[in-house]
Amino acid sequence: MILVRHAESLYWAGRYLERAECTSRWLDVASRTAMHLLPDEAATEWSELLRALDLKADFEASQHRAVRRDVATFLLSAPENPGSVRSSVEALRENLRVARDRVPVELWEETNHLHLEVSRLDVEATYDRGSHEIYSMIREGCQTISGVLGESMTRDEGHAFLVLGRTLERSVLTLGLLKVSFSNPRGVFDGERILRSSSALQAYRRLHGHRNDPVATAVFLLDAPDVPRSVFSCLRQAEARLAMLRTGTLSVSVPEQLAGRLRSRLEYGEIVSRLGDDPVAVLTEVDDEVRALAESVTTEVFRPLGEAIIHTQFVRPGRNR
Amino acid sequence: MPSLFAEYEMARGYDEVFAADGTVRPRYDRIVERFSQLDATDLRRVEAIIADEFRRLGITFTVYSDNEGIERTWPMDLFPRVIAASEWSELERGLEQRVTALNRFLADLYVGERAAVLDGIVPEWLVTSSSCFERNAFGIPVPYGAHCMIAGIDLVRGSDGGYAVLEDNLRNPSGISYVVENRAAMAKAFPNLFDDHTVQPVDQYGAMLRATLESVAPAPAGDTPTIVVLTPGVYNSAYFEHAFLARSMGVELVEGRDLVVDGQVVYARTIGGLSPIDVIYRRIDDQFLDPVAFRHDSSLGVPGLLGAIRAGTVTVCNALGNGVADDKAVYAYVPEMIRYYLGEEPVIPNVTTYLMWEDEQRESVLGRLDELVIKPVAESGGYGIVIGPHATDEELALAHRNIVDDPRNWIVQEVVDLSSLASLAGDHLEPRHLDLRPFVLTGERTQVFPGGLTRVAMRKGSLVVNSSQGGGSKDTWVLAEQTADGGANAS
Repeated sequence: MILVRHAESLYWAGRYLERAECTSRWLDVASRTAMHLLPDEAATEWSELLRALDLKADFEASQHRAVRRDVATFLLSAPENPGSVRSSVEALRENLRVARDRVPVELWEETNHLHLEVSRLDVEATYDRGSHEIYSMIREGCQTISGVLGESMTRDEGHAFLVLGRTLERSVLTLGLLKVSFSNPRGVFDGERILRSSSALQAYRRLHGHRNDPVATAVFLLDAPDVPRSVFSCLRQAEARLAMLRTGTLSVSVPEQLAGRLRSRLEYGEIVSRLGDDPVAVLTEVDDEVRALAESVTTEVFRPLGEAIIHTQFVRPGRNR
Repeated sequence: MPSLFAEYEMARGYDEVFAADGTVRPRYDRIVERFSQLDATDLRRVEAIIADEFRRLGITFTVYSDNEGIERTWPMDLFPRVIAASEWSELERGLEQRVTALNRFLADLYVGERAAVLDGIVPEWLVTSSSCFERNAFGIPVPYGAHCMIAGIDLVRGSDGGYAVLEDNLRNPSGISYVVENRAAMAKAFPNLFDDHTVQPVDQYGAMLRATLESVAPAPAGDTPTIVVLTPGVYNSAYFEHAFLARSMGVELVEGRDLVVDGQVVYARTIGGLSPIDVIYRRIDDQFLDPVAFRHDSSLGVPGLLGAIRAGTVTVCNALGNGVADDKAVYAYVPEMIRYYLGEEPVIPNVTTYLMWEDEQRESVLGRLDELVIKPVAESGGYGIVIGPHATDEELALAHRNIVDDPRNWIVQEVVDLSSLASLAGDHLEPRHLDLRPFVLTGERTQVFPGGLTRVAMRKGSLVVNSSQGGGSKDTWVLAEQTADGGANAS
């Protein structure tokens, strides 16, 4: 049995781990894309990235300009950005610290290591010559944590909550990226960038070749059963974890019902068949459902009696969360 | 290559490594030999490995200055402390004896007939005026009379090398996690140093503690009681230790808000609903345990916990009210308690203490306060202590006046020149003063954990060993019986 407080901390640790890794990877991919664009096209690119991360308003409120180094500083380490990689890694560590007695020592060690590296990071001073080192360091740190998580953590409730948080965050981020790409003001759909950001480019090419097809890309990222970052894969994992968390008195929980329903609608083609007509509306619908599922984890699992447990460390980026 | 010992100058008091004639005490023979083959660069390298290890593991403690907590990595000196087997078995006997007597006293006072007080072994006024005397503890029996399941006894060594008890810690003694982590770090940094010795292991602490706590569970809990560690939370300076204890026992680490009392039973809020708890190893003070019974403004505790303790559905470790027995004034009576309850002579003496409310003792010291340490009975945390040899004439005059005006509030002790041990200072070794806190567990029986936490002053001549004030620590080795420990009569 796991304490409600520990379950919640591990769930958020999973979300922050995913967020840190995704932010860094997206930024890396966007920087490479921006290299080949004119300055105002690049500015659009940056604003799209910020929108996909739900951080556009925070960015505009900060003193940064929409140029490569400023965006990178903001996303990697700006203190005023609650969704920066540094804030995410700090939140990851704090949440693991709360549940320290449930976390394997190797996982804690790797998290501390990444935290040290990220807090030492001086983006403004090193970005121009060392952006590649920064991205590799973050990617390696996050992937090492994921690896240790997979190899050394018992598949108990604590593990289930970590994975649940990670898969839900991943779905939200993938959907955000897709939604923004379809409403791009430049009117250009850059499938390669989206797929690369989702580590799915190779798999897509094997299936569709070099076709830059918006609907095919969206279907792929929503529905592909064998791509780890597709929404379907994430939901299937989330559903399995929620099923594992069923207890004697608790039959199928509301979150499990929501996850199962959305997963089957994706699996049996109901959603993707409508995608061609109005992709933004369909993506928004799926996004809303995933967010409702995440919300129900909080209300049904963490606060079944409505108790207010105050966790000051759970500051979420963006307004709609 | 200059020897690390080249600039070694013996300090005042007993030197753990070198006898007065400069020869190495046998129990340190091989360690001195190994260190003589190293130079400062080697040590720097090893020190870096250890610091990195502690940082990666997040083994830190919090130093408070200007109301701001700063996380520091745990400081450990590389030169280990060695205790010979025969020396340890004597200490073990003395610690077991002392903690047994203290437990007998607590059981007698709170649950029994208060025989020691009625027989005049400990003055009644002294007990009832202690700020830690807890009326709520009356009539609550603890299994096996083990009021203090986890004790930490602070020991020092005088100029003759003899050990003495400086202080008993019967409430929330901390430091055991550093004992275990120091050993793990030493084993990584200096594996070959262990080759020549058979050192008693320390990683069994979690198993020992768990067995102890299981043995004091209330009877209805059956064979597999549910144990939790209760912490004030992640912002507490000892949070690392609390998490360590939960992890090494394989039990949950809870905060007050995770627990709820219903029908005089304590439950934890889990994902599957409320789950009953049998034993709480609490690392918060009595006054914060239950906001209904004690401090109403505390949010750390569990409302209704005292009721559950009284109903006997849960065992809280350490028991309520233990502070009365580790009070500075009551300390002076522990040797008498040992004689009274056990009919034995104390194996480890107290530091020589004079009670100012005893006329004869007072008169014997008033003329030489400049050689002594003056301590107020009611204060703790070092507040109000006057160290005679370092005090000004005004301070001494004030202390004199205070004692004469209110003798019941003061004790006076002989100054102890703490023993010292070689420690790394820059690029060479120098003696540094140290003390020792062994841990004693009591459930069905009393067991002394091998070794303990050695705290060491990091500045030359300093007697301050607290980590919050720049002190460090050392791995502490108790040599196993079967080795040629050679040091049997070395002290």
